[in-house]
Amino acid sequence: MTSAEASPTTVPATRAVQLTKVYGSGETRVIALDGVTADFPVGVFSAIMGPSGSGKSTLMHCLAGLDNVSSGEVWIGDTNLTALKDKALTQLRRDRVGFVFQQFNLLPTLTAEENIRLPLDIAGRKPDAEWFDTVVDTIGLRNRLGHRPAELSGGQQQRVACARALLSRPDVVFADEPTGNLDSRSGAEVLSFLRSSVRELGQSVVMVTHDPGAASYADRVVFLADGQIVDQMTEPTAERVLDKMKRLDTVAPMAGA
Amino acid sequence: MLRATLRSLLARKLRLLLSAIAIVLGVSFVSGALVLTDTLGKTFESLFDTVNKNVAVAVRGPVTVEGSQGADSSREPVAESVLAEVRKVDGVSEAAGYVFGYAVLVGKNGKQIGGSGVPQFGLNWVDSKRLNSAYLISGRAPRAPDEIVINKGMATTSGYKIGDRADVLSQQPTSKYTIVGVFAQPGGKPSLGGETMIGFQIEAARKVLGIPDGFTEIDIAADPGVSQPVLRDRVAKVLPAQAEAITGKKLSEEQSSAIKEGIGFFSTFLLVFAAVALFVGAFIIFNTFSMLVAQRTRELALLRALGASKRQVNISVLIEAMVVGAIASAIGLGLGVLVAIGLQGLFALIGADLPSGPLVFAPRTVVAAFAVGIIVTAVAAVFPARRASSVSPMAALRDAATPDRSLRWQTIIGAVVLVLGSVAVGLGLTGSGLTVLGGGALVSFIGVAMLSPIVSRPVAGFLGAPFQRRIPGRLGRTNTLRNPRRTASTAAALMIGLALVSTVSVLGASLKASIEKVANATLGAEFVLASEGQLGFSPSVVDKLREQPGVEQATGLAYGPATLGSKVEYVTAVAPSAVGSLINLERTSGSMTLAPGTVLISEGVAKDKGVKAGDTIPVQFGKGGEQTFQVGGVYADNQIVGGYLFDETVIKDFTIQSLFAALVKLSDGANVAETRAAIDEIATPYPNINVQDQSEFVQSQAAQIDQVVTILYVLLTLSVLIAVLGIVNTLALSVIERTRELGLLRAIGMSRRQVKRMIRVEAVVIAVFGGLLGLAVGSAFGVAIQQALESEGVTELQFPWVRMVVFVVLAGLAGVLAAWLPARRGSRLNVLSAIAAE
Repeated sequence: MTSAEASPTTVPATRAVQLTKVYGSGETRVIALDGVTADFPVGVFSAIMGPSGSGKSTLMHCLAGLDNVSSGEVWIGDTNLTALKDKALTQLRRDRVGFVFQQFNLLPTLTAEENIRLPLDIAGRKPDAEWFDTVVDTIGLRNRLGHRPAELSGGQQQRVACARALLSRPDVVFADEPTGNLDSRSGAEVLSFLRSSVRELGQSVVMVTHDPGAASYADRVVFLADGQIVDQMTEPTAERVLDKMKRLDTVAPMAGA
Repeated sequence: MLRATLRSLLARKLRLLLSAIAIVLGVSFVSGALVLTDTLGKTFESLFDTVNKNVAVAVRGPVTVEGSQGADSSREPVAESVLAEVRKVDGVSEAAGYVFGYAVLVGKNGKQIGGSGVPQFGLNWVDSKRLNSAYLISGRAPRAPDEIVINKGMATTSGYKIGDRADVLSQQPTSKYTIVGVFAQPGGKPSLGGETMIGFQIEAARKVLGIPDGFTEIDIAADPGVSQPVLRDRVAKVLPAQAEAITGKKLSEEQSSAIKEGIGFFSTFLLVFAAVALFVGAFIIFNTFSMLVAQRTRELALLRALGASKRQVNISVLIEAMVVGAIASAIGLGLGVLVAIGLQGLFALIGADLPSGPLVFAPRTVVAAFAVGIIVTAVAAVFPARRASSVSPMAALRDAATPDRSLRWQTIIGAVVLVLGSVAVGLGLTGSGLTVLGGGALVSFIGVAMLSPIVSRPVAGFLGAPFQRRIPGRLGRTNTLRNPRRTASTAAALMIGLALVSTVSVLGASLKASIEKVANATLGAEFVLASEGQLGFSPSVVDKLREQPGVEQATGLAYGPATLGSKVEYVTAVAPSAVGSLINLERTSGSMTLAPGTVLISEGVAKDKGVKAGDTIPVQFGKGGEQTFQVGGVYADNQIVGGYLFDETVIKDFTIQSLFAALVKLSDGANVAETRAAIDEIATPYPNINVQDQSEFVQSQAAQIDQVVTILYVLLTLSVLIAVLGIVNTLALSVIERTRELGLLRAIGMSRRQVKRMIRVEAVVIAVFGGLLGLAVGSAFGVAIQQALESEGVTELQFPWVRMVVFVVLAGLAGVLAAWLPARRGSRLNVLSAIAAE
C-alpha cells in the first residue's frame, strides 16, 4: 500500500531476475521462459506481448506467484517470491497483488459489491470507505452494485473485476488478456479504466495481451518470443506494436508451449 | 454412439465410483442375506437327512394348535400302547418312542447353560445306534431316574465331567441329577445348531417334561428292502384315529423347513434393510447422474448438433447407468459372500453356533443381485437421461448454463405423490398390511424429496446463518442455496435414513411410556418374578411364595398358544383371586370375576370377534380336546394380560405347563427388604428367574425395547452411511464443477483452510437440513403408527427430544466427515490449471 507513493523509483513494483521456467523433462521438455530479466516499475502501465507460445502468460503467472519457477528469482516490491511457501504466497496474493483474468472473473453467487469486497473479506479486513467510493466511481458502476454477475454485461463484469483488484491497494495488478472475451467498445472501457487507475490512482499494472490495440493503452510494452525478451517499446501505438509483432511472428514461427 | 457412451463412462470413472458404492453396499446385503439363507438351509437339510438317516417312518399325535411365528405345532402325544402295535407290523425292524420337551442344566456358577435365543431341549435317551443318530462319546446311557447324559457342546461350556451332580430346571421343582455320559451329534459335532440337550432315562423324562403317558414321537427303522412309503402305509393301518405316520424323508423336510422358516424370517428382515439402503442409493445415483448430465450439457449438445437423436442421447445415459449398475452389482455380489460370513460370525457371537457348511451360491442369488443393482441404477437414471435428451443442440454454442427450471410442476407432482404415499401409509396401518405400509412410506419419501427444494432455500439459508460472519462460511452457505434441487436431493438421501431412525425412536419411546403406564395401572404387585428363555418355571415356586410370611397374595402367569376359531392366539392364565388385586383391569362390560369355565377378553378382541359378555367361545389348548368357555367380562385393552385371560386350571392343558412369571403382593406392614430377601431365596434354585420390584420390572421391559431399537439403529446405520457417501459425492462433483471458481478464490488470496471451511459449511448445512427433514418425516410416521397401534396398547405418544437433538448434531458431524475428502481436493487444486479449466 505504501510502496506506490513512498518509493516511486528505487524498487520496481515487480521484477524477474534470470527467470527460467521448464515444463516436463526428457523429450517432452519445453522451455517456456529462458533467463528472463525484466523490471516493471511502480506507477506504470506495462504490457507483455508476444506471439502465442512465447511465454508471456507463463511470465505473468510466475510474477504473480501463481506458478513456481524452475530457476531465477521473482520479486514483488522487496519480497522474493521464490523463497515463499504456499501459505505465504496465498497471503501475498491476497494482500499485495490484484488479478484480472480473461474470463470467469467473478463469483456467480455474489453481487457486484460483494465480489469487489471479496479479497478484503477473505483477509478479514474492512475496506477504506473513501477508497471504495473512489474505485466504484472510477469504474462507473455505482448503480449496479447490487446486481449479480449474470445481470451485468461482459464489460461491466470485467470492470467489477478491475475494481476488486484495486480495492485492496495492491502493489501491483496483473491482468491476463482482460479484453480477450470482450467486444471492442467494452474492451476500450476496461483498458481506459486500467490506464486511469495508473494515471490517477498511482497503481502499477502489468497486462498480458496479444492485441496491439490493447497494448497501445500501456505506457511501456515488453516483447517476448521463445521465452526470451526480444524488445521493449515506450509510448506504444497500435501501429508500431502491430508492426513489431509481425516481425516477431516471422522470426519465431514456432515456439514451445 | 455406444463407443461415445463408454468413453465418457471411462472418463468419469472416479465420479461414478462413489455413487456406485451405494449400490455395491445395497447389493452386498441382498446377496449376503440370500447366500446365508441358502447356505444355512442346505446345511440344515443335510444335517436332518443325517439325523433321520435310519428313520423310515415316524408316528405322532394329532395337531392341537398349529405352529405360528416360528413355533412348532402343539400335538397330543401318541398312546404308549401304539409302540407295541407298531413293532408287530411286518417290515418294521426297530421302533423307539421319544418324549421331548424343554429342560435346562444349571452350571457350576449357578447360572443356566445356554438359553440366549437357542433352545434348551430335554428328551429320553434312546439307546439305539439306528434310531438315535447322537452317540455317546464317553460314559454310558442313563439307567436310574436321577441320571442324565448331556451333549458335547454343553459339557464343554459347563465344564461338567462324568460323575458330577448338577441341578436341572424343568416344569417340575428343581432337582439334582448325576451326569453319566456325554454324547455327540453325527460327525462328532458338539450340537446340531448351538442348542443344549439333556437325555434322561424314560421315566424321569416323562416326569420332568410333563408327559405322564404316551410319546411325542415314535421313530421306526425298516427291514432291508422295505421302502419308506410302503412301511408308512402299513404302519398307518395299526394307528388309532388322528395319529399319523409320515416317512423319514418327509420328517427331515418338515424339520429343516421349520428352521428354514425362521432363517427366512431373519433373511426377510435383512432384505428390508437392504431395500432401504438401495432406495437411498437410488437417490444418490439420481443425484450423480443429474449432476453429470448438467456438467456435460455442452458435450451432449455437441452430439445432438452432430446428428444424434434424442433417443440416442437418452439411451446412452441409460446404458451408462446400467453399466455402472452391473459393475456395482458384480462387486456387491462378491462382498455379499463376506457379509454372509460376517453374519455367521455374528450368530456365533450371540451363542447360536450354527452348523457350518460350504457357502451356497444359488443362481437365484446372482440373478437377484444383478437384477436389483441394474434395475435400481437404471430407474434412478431415467429422469436424468430424459433431461439429457432434452438438451438442445444450441446449448453447445451457448456458454452459460441453462437457467434453473421452475419448481412449480415438481412441487405439484410432489404434493400429489406425498398425498398418495400418505394414503397408502394410512391404509397400511389400518389393516392393508405391511407391504402397503412400506410401499406407502417409500412413495411418501419420494414426495417429500420432490417437495423439499421449495423449502431448501429458506431452511438452508437459516441453517447457514450462523456461519455468515466470515467469508468462507458465507460462501459455503450461498453455495447450498445455489442449486436448491441438488441440495434438496442430497439432503433427501440422508432424510430417509434419519426418518426411519426417528420413527423407530418415537415408537420406542412411546412404547416404553405406554408400558410404564399400563404396568403402573395394572400391576398391584410389589414384586414380579420374570423368567428368561422358553422353559419358564415350575408352578411350585408360586406355592412357596404363598407360604412365605409377609406375602399376602401370589399368582403365577402362564402363557401359551391356543386355537380360537381358526386363529392361533397366545393366551394368559392366572389365579382367579389375582384379578382386582394383583392385576387391575379396567372393566368395560360384564364382571371381572375369573372362574373355571370363564374367560375375560379385551375390548379389542370383543370388537374383532364380535363377542360380548355372556357369549360362549370354543377353545383348543395344546393338550386335551376342544373346550367351551363363557365370556365373563370385557376389559380395556391391556398389554400385560393380552387379549384373553383364563383361570389357572387351564394351565394343565397348555403345551408347556410352566409359568413365565409370578406376581407377589405383600401384606400391609410387611418388611419389604426382608421379604424380598426371602423371595430371592425362593428363586435361587431357578437361575432363569429374575426377581424385580415394579420399577425394575418396568425398566427391564424398557430395556428389551431399547435392545430392539438398538438393533434397528445398527441396521439403519447402513442407509445413513450411504447417504453420507451421497453428500461426499455431491460435494466432490460440486468441487469439480466449480474448479475455476475455486481457482479464482485461491488466486485472489483465499487460503487452503478457508477453502476447506467453505466446503465444510456447505456439507454441514446439507446434512443438518437432511437431518431435520428426516426428523420431521420420521416423527410424522411415528405419530401415525402410534395412533394406529393405540388400540393395541400403545396409548402414549412420546418424543425422545434429547435423542432427536443428538441425531441432528450427529448429522452435522456426518457432514463434517463427508466434507473431508472433497474439501481436501478443493483446497489442493492447482490454482493455475483450475483457472484455465474448462
